[in-house]
Amino acid sequence: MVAVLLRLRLALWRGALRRDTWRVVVLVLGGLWGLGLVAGALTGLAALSGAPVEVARAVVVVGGTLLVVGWTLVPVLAFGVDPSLDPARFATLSVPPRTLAVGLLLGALVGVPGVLSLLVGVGTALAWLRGPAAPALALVAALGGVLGVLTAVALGRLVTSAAAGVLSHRRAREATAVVGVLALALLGPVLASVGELLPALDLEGAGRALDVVAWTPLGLAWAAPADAAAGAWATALTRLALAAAALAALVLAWAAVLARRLESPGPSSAGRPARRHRSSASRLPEGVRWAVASRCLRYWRRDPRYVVAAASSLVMPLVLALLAVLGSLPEVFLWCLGPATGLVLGAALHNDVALDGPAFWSHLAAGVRGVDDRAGRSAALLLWAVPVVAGTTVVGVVLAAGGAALAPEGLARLAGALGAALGLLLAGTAVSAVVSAVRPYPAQAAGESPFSQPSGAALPGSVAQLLTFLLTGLLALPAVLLGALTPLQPWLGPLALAAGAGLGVLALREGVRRGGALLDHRAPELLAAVRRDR
Amino acid sequence: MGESGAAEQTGGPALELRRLVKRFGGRTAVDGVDLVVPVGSVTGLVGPNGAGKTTTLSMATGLLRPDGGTARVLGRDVWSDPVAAKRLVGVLPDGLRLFDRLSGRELVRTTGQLHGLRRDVASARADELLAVLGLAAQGEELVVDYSAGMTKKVALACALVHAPRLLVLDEPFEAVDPVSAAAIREVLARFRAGGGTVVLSSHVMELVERLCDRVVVVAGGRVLAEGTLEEVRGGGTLEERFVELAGGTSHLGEGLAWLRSS
Repeated sequence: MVAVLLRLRLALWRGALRRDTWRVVVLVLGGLWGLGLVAGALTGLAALSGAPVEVARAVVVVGGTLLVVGWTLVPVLAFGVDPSLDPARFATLSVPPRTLAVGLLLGALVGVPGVLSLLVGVGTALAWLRGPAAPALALVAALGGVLGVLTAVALGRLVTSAAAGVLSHRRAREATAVVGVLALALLGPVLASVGELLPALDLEGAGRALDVVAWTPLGLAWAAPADAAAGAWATALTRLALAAAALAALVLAWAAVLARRLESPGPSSAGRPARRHRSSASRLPEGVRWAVASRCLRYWRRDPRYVVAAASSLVMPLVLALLAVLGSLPEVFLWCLGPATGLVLGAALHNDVALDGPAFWSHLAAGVRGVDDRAGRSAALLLWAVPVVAGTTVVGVVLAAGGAALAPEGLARLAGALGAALGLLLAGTAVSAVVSAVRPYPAQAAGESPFSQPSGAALPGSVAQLLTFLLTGLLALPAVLLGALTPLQPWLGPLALAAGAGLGVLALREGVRRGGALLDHRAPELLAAVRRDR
Repeated sequence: MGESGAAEQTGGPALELRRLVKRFGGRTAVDGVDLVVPVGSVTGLVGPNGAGKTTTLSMATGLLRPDGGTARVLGRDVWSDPVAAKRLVGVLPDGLRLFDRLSGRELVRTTGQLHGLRRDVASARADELLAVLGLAAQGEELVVDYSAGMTKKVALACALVHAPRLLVLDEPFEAVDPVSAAAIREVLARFRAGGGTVVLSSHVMELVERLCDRVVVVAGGRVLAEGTLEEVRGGGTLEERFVELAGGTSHLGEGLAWLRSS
């Protein structure tokens, strides 16, 4: 049975690869990238064999623990990463849960991340090729590595299966996904600041924490060879035995969860009423374009794809501001806070028809004029983006200049930054109104994981984004230049503001007009393209 | 397939397709379809999977640009005078999503507003349509959380909200439970009693026999038969006639002997 499951997994792979040449490319590139990482890791591990036992121990245990944590958290946050061996699909077959658990566990290893993890896990042996007992140490390390990787996979599957009940509710799933994407976006800056703080860390405390982790299922298997290298063979074997027992317990627990899930494969989720917002959307004026805008405003609130876009455009500048305040980044970042937010938000609509997906037919069937479509979408974005961009600009300037922001020169520089920010936002919205009417490229469907990139989107997506940014920069150039020169000539500040707002509004009118005309001509083709991409 | 009697009415037939052609790559999906739907009729479009029903209806409603031919709604050309034509048509496409992050009530109201209705008018009509279709209690839930039957019903409400004169429904009864189907039939009957015209496609022959007074049989992108229900079925049942026309024969022969349980 286990062999059948493994063969099924391989067959699924072959099928997916045969259907889609891009996947082969992605697989090969991903595999090469992964192999590069593995090669780096193995080199590092080999180098560790010359280091003191404590250092090697710290590196291997911390690395191994991170591997386990990664295998556990990533599948939960990235729901839908690999549903091909979803346990629920086996509900109609009579497979004993324990067999299924073992089969799926090994099946999860057949794949790029699984194979690479195993390579690194076994490769920890390289760090322990030292002293007269080298072969025995390497054996303990390899064994520990295999146990560690298996524990990682089993823990990940257990958590995923247990969370599946909760995550089958759309809202919970979407909320998790939004949090996951934001967490990923923040990872870089957070790691950077941790790196800065690291030297100040209390080494003794870290050592004690390491000792604790080494006795948890996360670190047991990884810590075993260090004990052996220090001569404590009994402790090493105890750790290995405990690791094996923990693995067995995990598999059993997972089998139990599986058994429960196989009995009730699809918990249904009852719809909950949408909150009635008496706010902005229902106070909009009459008219087709405002009907479009009210629909878009609701999407900015309710569709995870929009929520992620809006939230990350807010979170990223805030993190940058924090880093600049802490001194890790130069002060100029604070001045750029508003303009950067404006640039990012201005490009938010550059593939909006693809985000509608096939639902775009409603505009077509109702005979919505192109200008109304463009104007409505732009208005919905600007209604909240203008205050946000203005707010981040003010925050950035106040953080940079402190009390001096209220002095005449400070106010002039604020006007300059505001001009550049609004100019970029308006110009970006104008460019997006045209770009999104030219040719949509594949986007995630509503309800899909925000992590999953549809195949064939990477290249056209980057081209469209780059083009949007370039044209935006070109259109907003006067305001940006004037804003940048304000620190030298304060009187340029109000001029920058006038240029940003004035030229921006002109650009937006033109963008809506041209994008609308394009849409009037090409809407059926856009709908056909969006449907093909699904 | 000559001019039907209804053509004398102001504006011509409810729907008139002339030599409609659509090719996808090398495959011709619709191969010169001619069709006249008289005002006041309920016309059923039947055909096997892949016959070109959805493609034909998409081109008739302005969702898919034809490679050749014309489509007119009450005399207005769908592709050269789209605004006038689309005002007269309500569409329920098959397999296309709705803006499903709106609640049912919001969706119907917004669709009405997209057609140019004032908000209070669209709002009142949305309430009424949801009540008639038995969705009033779920009016505040998001459409994404609706069942398949509820989704069809709310899509029908969207097709009706601007008071069209022609309804084009692609598989309106697919995945719909009997209670919802009854509600849909009732609404269609009322629409027709008010002088409206309905074109619907379906796989279910009994349903077409029960609802429609005219039938069009399509296969391989061509119209194989067209006329009143009696003319098309000619004595037998519609199902028999359909299988005969669409060329269904048994492939079973002596196979599957192992399926016998005794």
